[in-house]
Amino acid sequence: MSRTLRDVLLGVAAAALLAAALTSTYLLDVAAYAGVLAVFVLAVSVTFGQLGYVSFGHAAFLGLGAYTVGVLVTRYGWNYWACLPLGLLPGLLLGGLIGVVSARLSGAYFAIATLVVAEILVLLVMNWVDVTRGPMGLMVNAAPLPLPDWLGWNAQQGYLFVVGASLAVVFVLLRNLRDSATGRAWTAIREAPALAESLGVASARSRVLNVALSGAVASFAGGLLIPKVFVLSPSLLGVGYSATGILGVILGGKATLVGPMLGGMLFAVIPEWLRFLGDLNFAAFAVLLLVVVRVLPGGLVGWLAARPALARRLAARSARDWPAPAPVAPRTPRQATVLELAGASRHFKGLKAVQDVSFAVRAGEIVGLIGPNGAGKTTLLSMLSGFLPPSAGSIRGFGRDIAHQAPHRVARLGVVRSFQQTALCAGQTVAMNMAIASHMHRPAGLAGALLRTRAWRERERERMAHALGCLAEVGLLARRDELAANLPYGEQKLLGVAMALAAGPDVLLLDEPAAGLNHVEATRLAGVLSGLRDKGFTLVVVDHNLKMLMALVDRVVVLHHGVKIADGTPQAVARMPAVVDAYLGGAHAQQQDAAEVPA
Amino acid sequence: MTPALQVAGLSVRYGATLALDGVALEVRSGEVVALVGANGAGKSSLLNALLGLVPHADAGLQLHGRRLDALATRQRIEAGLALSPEGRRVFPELNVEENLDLGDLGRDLALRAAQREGVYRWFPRLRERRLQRAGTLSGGEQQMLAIGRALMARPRVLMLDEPTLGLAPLVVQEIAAFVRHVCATGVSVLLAEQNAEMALGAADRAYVLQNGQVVMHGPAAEVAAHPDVRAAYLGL
Repeated sequence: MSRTLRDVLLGVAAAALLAAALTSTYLLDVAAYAGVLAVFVLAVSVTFGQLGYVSFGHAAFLGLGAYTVGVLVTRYGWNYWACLPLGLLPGLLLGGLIGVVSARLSGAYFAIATLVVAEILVLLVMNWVDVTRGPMGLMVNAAPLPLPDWLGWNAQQGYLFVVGASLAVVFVLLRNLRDSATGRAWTAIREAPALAESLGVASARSRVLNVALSGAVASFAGGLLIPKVFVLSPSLLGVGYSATGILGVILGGKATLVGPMLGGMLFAVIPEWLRFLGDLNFAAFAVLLLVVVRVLPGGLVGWLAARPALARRLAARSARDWPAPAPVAPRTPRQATVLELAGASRHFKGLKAVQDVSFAVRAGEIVGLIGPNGAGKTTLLSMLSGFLPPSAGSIRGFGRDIAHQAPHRVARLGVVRSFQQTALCAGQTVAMNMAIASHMHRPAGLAGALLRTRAWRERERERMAHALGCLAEVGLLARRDELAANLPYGEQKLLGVAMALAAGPDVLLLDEPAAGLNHVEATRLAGVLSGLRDKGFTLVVVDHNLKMLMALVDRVVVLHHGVKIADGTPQAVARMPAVVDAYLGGAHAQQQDAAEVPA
Repeated sequence: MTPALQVAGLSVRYGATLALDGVALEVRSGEVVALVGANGAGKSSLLNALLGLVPHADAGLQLHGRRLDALATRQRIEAGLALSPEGRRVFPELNVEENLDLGDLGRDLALRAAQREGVYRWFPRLRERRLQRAGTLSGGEQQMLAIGRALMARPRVLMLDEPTLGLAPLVVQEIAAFVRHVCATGVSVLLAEQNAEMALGAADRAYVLQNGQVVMHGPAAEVAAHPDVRAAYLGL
């Protein structure tokens, strides 16, 4: 039996047991409310915890779902339990809409946008009295869940059962999603947005999907809330519930799914525990929250997971049986010329970073790109990979215009870059970084990921074998279970190369891959890179380690003040007076001569 | 004569891994000492621990005879230790002058201006770019700025973490020249470098780190001539 089915059944069974065991009206009420809040906070965690976008307006989804189901029941007389799943739709649509409209917003601006949407909806609900009864509130009489008589459950027990079962399904599906390419893309967007694009993640689309799914779950929680609150009022869409969502995620632990679920439950339970304090119970709850945030920055689950005993067990579980690394497959060149720049220029205000540069890169060659710091090398790589549109001139990749394509499209075309300043998901393990990087390797559908179908798992294994093969290629396989942030600088750069490789390119653009490596390590890297060339990859390498570079490359292009001043074999270029003056300096030229004597 | 910086036995742990294992070293007044080692050998950990950025057990740290172990980072800097971190970490939104001023812990504005002048004498290019945002500087200029910022604290021991990382050969030569000359002013330099060739060329003495331990130390020329070092770090 698959893990998905097993866990859903376990959850449903637990819900049934709990519903049967509780008889006190009060406890049933609190337990059901805890379950609904858990679903809602899980929804918030999809956007806040996984994508890293704070939303101050998730109550809008909650309220929208509640009112949609409420109106269907009161105005059209539909059965509540039949309407309940429909509560997903309004959140899905609104979430998608917010995702599209806010495509260019990030950080605080996204938070404000969601807050504004929620406030507009509050006004709408308040004033559309015909449908919502405005401030008077919409009374929704949910019929009891039709249950067989022999169970002997009352309406509240039936309600708690549905809430518990829904929570189980939502939790398992969200967990499956988190462990899929979709969830990994969100992690990449959260931790390193530029890296995500460079690896072929369509960030804008991925974000819309995230907000839409999160909205759908939140809005489902709204429908689920109806039997508990009975009367729907505009305050449902207010900041109160939005804050509950955010705080629940923080309280439980942002980086997990168990955390938000627990956090949501505690938001229903703790104020009840504190009832003995009378009117002060909410103030006491607030103080408690402050203390938790101060003392446990990782939330409850983050703190628990860091306990030595549990940490050991978790580590043992995560060191699961990785598939055997699959060797990097050779490339067959599709065309003789893979990249072509013609008169490419890039200006930043007054600064001409790259001026009128033209050259072509042939399939299967290694081109070195050298020049003084600030000569425009990184700018050029950014233009070749879609990160910067040229101000003038044309750039073609595999015969197609890539000058004004988004980076992920260029990556999908087969041109992938690495970064000069290490870009990786520092909070994730090396293996996880590689899994993220293999985003484009045999992509699978969303439905397969949600249900973890057999075919999907097969693809996932294959993808991981490919990812680990790329990791082995740069010699970092033994480091796979370490946190990327803990690697020394040079290995982080190597991981960057492995990640670019895992994206499955034909052309690799490497920005200073040998920076931070000593001569021996750099020589090893040179071996890896020439091995890739032999497998049919094309490489453009920027580096200052000339000893390594000059021995490796077939051709060197030299930039100075944004202008191409030389293009030729390493031996020829190293002798050009202009190159020596601008870049190599006297000492190096002598060194070069000395080095050539034995050869 | 008491050495400028003395370390009796420094150990640093990250969770279960032992990053530094009883490292002992000393830096004499006006001396350039190179730290050589592979990636992950512990060079950065050592510099960060000396400045108190990484917690460590009592290691018998002394700066010109003054005990450092119990001091917080700020107090260690006041005592005369300064670090130019790996990867030219300048504040990209601030201009050159503001970046430099951040390195000065004192409050005497006249002294600060004089100190800035001192940095500009070392790196005239920074004077030209005085009001330019640090993020728009070239890599070499950013590295000079990071070193200059460390100099603003008037250190007696200047620690440089990978000062030539990602720099063009011409700029590497400039940085090496700076290291050679700054020690003549009485500032000692502790230099961690992947570019072992440059580091051993510029240093008086050198320590080789391997898996968090000092495996060799001595005059730089001797270390550079050692066959193991030539094979492992210089690629000769």
